Amino acid sequence: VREQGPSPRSERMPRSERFEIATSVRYRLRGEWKWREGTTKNISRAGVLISTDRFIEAGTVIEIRFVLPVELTGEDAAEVVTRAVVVRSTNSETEPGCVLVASRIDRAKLLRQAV
Amino acid sequence: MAVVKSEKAAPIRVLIADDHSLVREGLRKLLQTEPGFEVAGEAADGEMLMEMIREARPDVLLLDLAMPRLSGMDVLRELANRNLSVRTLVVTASIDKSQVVQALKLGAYGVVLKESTSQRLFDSIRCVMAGQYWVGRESVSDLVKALRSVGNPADQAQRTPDFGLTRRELEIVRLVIAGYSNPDIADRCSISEQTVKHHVSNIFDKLGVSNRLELALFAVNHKLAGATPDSD
Repeated sequence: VREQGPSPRSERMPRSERFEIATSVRYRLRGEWKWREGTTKNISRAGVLISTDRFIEAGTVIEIRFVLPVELTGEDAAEVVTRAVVVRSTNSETEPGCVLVASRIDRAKLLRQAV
Repeated sequence: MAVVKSEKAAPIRVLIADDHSLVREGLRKLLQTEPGFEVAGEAADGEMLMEMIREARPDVLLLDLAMPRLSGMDVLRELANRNLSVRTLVVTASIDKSQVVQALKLGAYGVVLKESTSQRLFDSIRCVMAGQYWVGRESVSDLVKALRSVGNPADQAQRTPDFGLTRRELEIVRLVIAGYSNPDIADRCSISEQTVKHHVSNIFDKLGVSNRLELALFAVNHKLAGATPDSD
């Protein structure tokens, strides 16, 4: 008899909290040199939802960079550099012409900004 | 045979303030049945009460909040302004937490509900005479929460929740947000890298986050970068 229970994955990885942080981001597709612009809608340890002006195909690997929107005394806030995989792109229902791109973070680093 | 001379303590002089004569009469009769109490007078409104306090100089005032001419809260304010020394117990049918807090802030020593037993009333009077505060035991924890929630608004505006982080941990949070690595933080704080790891691990546990990115997002979202705790 197989017992039903929470999956091992859900035990190991509880859903990460999404923080409603709106800040400017630069992103580029892997292999491209040109940066594009967008705005974060929410961010968690596992993913980023950005609002931008174009669809990006699911599965596309992108690099996203943004500076933490906080003022520190005597220091600049870190720049967050992430490598992420797009999981979906949808038209924004509230902002005409905007596309919401959801991505899963594979790797993230906090980098000190050059003084 | 040795004679033990017992010195009888002076009775606690109680002034009763309530606009309902039936309540005043009930309290008076109740206090007269209990040894150690003496009724110093009765007042049916706030103004009359202020005069009686000046004249009778009671030890304890049993004060109803809903009184004509000068409400119970106004009486508490007047007592504080005029520096009249009397230990006041608010006796009321019902009271919300914010009123309890306000009464205590205005100098009341406690609150007794009219539904309380007579024994509780006696205990409360003796308690405040001993210099202690009396609030219904079952409401103490709620009251503490209420006191926290209605604290000085200026203090509250300035104070950011620190989620139990120590001063050192908050400093490390700030350095993480600034992008410092563990070796950099160790260098900046003049501590070992192992100690930094220990602090970071504690911070993760306290905030319920699991990596530096989530820590930074949490800190930004909760404005932790500017929080300064009182002590380590």
